[in-house]
Amino acid sequence: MRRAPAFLRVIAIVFVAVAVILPFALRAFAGQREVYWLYVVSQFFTLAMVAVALDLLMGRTGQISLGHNGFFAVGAYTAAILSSRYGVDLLAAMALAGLASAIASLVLGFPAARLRGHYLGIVTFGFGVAIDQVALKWDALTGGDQGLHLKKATLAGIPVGSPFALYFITLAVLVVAVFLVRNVTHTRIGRSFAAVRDSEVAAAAMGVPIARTKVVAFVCSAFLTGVAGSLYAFLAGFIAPEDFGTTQAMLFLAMVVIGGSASIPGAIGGALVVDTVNQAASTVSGLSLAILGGVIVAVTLFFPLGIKGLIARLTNEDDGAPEGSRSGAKPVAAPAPERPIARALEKVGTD
Amino acid sequence: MLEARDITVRFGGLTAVDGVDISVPERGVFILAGPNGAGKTTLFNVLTRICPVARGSVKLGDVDLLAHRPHEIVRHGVARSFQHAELFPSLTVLENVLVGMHSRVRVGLVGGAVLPPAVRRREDEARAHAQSLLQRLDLWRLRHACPADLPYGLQKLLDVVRALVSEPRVLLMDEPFAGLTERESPRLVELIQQEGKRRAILMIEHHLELVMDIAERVTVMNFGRKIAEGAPAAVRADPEVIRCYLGKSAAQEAVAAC
Repeated sequence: MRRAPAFLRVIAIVFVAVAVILPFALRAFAGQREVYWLYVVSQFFTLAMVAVALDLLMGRTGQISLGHNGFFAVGAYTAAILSSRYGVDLLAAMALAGLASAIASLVLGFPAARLRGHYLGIVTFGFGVAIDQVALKWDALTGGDQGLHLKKATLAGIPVGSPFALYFITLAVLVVAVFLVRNVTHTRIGRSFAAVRDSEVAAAAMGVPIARTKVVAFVCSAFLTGVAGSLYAFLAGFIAPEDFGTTQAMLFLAMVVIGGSASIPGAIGGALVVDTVNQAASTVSGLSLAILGGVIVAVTLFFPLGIKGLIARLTNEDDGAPEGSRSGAKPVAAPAPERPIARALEKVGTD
Repeated sequence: MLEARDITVRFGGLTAVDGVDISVPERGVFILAGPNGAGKTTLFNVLTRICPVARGSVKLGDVDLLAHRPHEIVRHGVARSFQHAELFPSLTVLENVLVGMHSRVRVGLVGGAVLPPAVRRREDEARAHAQSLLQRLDLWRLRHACPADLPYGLQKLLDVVRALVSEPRVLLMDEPFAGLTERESPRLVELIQQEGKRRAILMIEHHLELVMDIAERVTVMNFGRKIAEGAPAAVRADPEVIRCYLGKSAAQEAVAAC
């Protein structure tokens, strides 16, 4: 398996080390703000997981999704219902939340396997909108606009509902998710994702089942997003339909576009940028989305390859890929898909 | 071994392939020639199920290939390269070749995610097989390169390696010499000679002089129909073939010269 460049390995180690030390530093220095900052950073971990999951679908497989807020909501509501009504523990609730989102993605995935470009975008967008409305109208199940309160999380009977414990659980789940996605993308199934994105005809000729591969990518991405949704619900302790609107779908999309495509560090960096700007902008009443929108436009215009491009510039290579491509050889024929997400979005307008 | 009978393909009112028969035994190098628009690539697309047929049958041994979906064809032993190297530009050279082994490597989603030792071993074996083929064509040193960074000739060679790595019974090559330099062509000729002893190679090729010595039989198509078939020298002297390649007057001159 291809090893990540040394620079990225160092970044990953530093990221995890800082994340582990941070709660202790907050406990020592943040005083009453400790819980708030633990919550903010924990929620960033859930967003990072969504970004990694969405990048698996959009960046790796070239499938556009404007409805991941729907999978996030399915995961969050599944966990909330299981927790509030049945007292299911955190691990089981997470797994079932992921499973529920994966099943929901199958409903979308099969038609999605035969759709592309703007058709797929509209179908997924419709799903996100529909889930939002179902959560609002199905009072008996979701609590409607009154929302749902979760019980304090437990793990094998041990209370883990404190912000401190949930922080480390969320971090651990993110690390495991990154490990699994990283492995998948560097082995047979991950290669088939990229092959389907690059050339369906050639991929089929190599034995890759196109429709099944697209559905598998959808299911994997939805599973991880559902797990992230469940953690979001446990961290918040209360969820309501307005947490999962179409604005959230656009923020998810922005994380992946800003991150660059087919890059785990890029996706996490994209989540960091979007979440930081969102948090900072939220202090400006009424203008937070306008500020966030402006930052997204600026980043997309001035850094079209996103954070992945910046990493490539720093490491002088393309996300760990080509030693050979640093040889200075000029591209002769087929253009490299430097911006597959941008290409996927372009298809929305051109297909 | 590979028997295609009465293959007919229609695109709306246009008959792109019209009742063509072609058969390929277990070993050897066979050429499919003809001017542009003759229907050669369309015939390849039929053999690999990319293109639906209006009429006809394709059998590989006892297997009815038309009863299978496109991605199942390589598992039954028919692999192909493309006229314009259809590589996967977001994957490295090595990864492109590994995709060619998709149907041979038994690594599923969960195994790939968790990577137990048995799965690692399977991936390592696949890499070793890909390495041996890349080394034969002196492409191993470029294994981490992006295909788009390679000169076009090397992209074409990589396309061939990617098809060959699945160890097919029949290898279909669509104009493999197009774009190759004088230095690269002999490497491919040597590879085709060696592989032709182990499997059947059916190759679309215009440069008959390059493959004249290694081809056992040449089939020529024009306007979707088979117009000649036989030993390379005989086919080259066929007036119908000369007419379709060079025009009627040239054919008359050639016949007069004889």
